[in-house]
Amino acid sequence: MNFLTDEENERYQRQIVLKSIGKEGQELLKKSRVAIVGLGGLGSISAMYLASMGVGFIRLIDKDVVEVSNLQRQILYTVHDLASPKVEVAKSRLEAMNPYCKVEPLSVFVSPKNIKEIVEGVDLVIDGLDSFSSRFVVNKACVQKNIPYVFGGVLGTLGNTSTFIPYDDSPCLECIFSKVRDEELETTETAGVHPSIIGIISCIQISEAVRIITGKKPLLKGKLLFGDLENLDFQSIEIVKNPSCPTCSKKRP
Amino acid sequence: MSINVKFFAIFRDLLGLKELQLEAGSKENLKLIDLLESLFQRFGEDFRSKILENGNIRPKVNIMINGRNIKFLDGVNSTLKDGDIVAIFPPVAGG
Repeated sequence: MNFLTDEENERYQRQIVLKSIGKEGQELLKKSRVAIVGLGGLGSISAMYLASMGVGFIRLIDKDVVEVSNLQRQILYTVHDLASPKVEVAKSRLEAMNPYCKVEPLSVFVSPKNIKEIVEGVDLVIDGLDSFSSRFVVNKACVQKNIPYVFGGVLGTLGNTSTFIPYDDSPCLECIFSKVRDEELETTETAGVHPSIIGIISCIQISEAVRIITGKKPLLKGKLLFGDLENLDFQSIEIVKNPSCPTCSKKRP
Repeated sequence: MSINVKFFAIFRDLLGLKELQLEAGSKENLKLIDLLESLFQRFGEDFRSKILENGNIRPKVNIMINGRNIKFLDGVNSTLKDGDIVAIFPPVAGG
């Protein structure tokens, strides 16, 4: 069932020849199930690349409709999509890009009430959200269900990303950003965001996701990477599990 | 005693440097607030106002000591020891 057809072999040839993916990795991608929470700038790019690369199932979660101010950076959408639900537009675009990828649209806001449905049956979650409160909901569910969570956040010319692996004693999002309140933070609406940093951060998230799916060690486990277009200096810091974290401390690998 | 302080994003822009090796003499029980005060003396009140609000760390500031959020340690009273790495950065939430 998961073996590749001749057409798939041809479609994915440029990545099957990569030592880090290979035929076995490609079959694992085909078998994999990924949830992308948030279909803004980050989520757009993650969705397009993961669908193109041959992830077999992608669940898309976003309640918003396409607005004109999205189009500068959310490259899944066009002027023809204005006022349409993002997840529906994304589903038809992604399935046109790669009919081998099955896309499930969930037009909902992430909340504790629906998070079980959002992460049900997926191998990993890619972050494209725009608030810490919704990320904490996703993070908690991922910790409880042992699902890797690839975090990304951007603002202005700055981005940060990390990979949280709940079953491997790495820290969780809450260990690092506990008690951050969204109302205290700037948003892309007030501070702006450069599309280039979105591309860089989301592509690092994609690389981490593919590493996890193909059985490689993610490179940002236990690290938080910062990048800034203003100096093009990319630097990571070590991050460790907090023994008193309210979300992950009671859990042992 | 030597502490490595790393600055990211607006803090790096404000100070014009990405890290600093602070020599803190042989003081025992050095606390984070002592280190911050020496940074404020060196870099001025503007830097203080970006970090502290009524004596507490501002919500827009995340500080880690050796990869641990100080909110899970003792906040500004967290103790530092020789060789510690302190990272100061803003939470970045956009998507």
